[in-house]
Amino acid sequence: MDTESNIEAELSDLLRSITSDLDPPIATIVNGGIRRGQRLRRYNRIRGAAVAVTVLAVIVGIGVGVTGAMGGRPDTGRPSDRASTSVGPASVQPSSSTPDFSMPSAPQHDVQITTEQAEQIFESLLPPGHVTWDPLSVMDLSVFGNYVPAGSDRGYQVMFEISSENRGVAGGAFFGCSAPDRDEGPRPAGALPVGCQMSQVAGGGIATVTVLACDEYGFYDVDISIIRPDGVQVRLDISNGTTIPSNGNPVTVSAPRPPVTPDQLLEMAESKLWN
Amino acid sequence: MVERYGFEEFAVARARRLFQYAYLICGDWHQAEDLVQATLAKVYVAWRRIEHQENVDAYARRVLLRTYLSHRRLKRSTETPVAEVVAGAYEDDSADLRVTLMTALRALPPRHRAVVVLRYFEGQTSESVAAILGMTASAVKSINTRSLAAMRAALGAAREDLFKQ
Repeated sequence: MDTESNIEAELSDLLRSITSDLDPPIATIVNGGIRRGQRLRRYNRIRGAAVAVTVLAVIVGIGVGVTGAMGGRPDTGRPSDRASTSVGPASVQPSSSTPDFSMPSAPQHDVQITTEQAEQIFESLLPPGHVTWDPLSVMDLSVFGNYVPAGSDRGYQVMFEISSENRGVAGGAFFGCSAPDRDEGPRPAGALPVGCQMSQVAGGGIATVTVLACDEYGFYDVDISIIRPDGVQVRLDISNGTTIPSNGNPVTVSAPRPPVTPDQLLEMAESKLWN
Repeated sequence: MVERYGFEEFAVARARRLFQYAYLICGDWHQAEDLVQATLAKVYVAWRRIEHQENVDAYARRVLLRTYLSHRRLKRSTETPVAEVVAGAYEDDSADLRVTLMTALRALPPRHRAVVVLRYFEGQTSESVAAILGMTASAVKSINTRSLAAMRAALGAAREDLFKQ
């Protein structure tokens, strides 16, 4: 007699049976989890309360004064063009300005590209070189890779996230600036200074450019997050090294600065190729 | 650094079990690795807050499940179907068993699959499953009954063969 209790008992045995001799790469999984955890913790520190402020600006869909979480004075000056909102190493430093951003209404757009297409797009936007993408780093929306510029033997971690609000997808983008975090170790000489700045980009999107605090090994990221009027969120990130262990450290710091400037990364995030 | 060593100890001790759980939930070897890494990353972030709690294991399982159920991402066309991964990973007769069962499991909607794995792999009660998934116990029982019926139908004649192995 085929009772429910029969199949329940069978199922328990079967599930245990088919998993009993699985032999996953424990060290790889644990080390990867720690690296991603360290990265996540750094990101979480700078997101903070600023997210809610900026999302409000996006939802309202009109000019809304966004109070910079850097704790500054009001500023009613609206950026009038790309140049006035450009973000470079100097301007990424903590700013006291509180620019007025607007998000024009636009039909909501869904992301149609595949992960592989997105990988190709990002690689095509980077200066010549080669990216080895990590096939595992997709569960939390982020796709990570190791970028080696042409003519160099040094690698740099790159990451992208493409998502759209109308799919109910909450990306990890930083929409807003919060108080800068402190470096956990010595910042490499010549490194970009920690900081964050919001700007309005062509087409009405809002960009947040963040230079993160470095970890105990001097490893840090430049992170660009854009939310477009159509709801698509593009986030690009590049580090000054790789998460490949070396010299007993879990990361390799390749240079004081990432191989592209925040300005260049912002241009990549604004590309029409992300669609 | 004490914090990190504490976490590492936990992660090394639990990664295999979490992987088994993830593998049953998502039905894909590589995705299971990714899911466990993503889970451990979130547990790492919360470690200071949870390390002294009684049941960190349950917390990690909840994180894993919610990560799986909530994640949306761009599709990767090279994702390998479960049957290929499983058949490639095991050269013995048990490959057939895994393929058959994993195919039947994967045919269930994600939340239904989660209920089945929590109930029959983890041995959780309907009430516990309900708490983990944020639903009522009666809803869990309903999903469970439907899932078992679907599994029974999906396994079909293969079911008897499964238990001969």
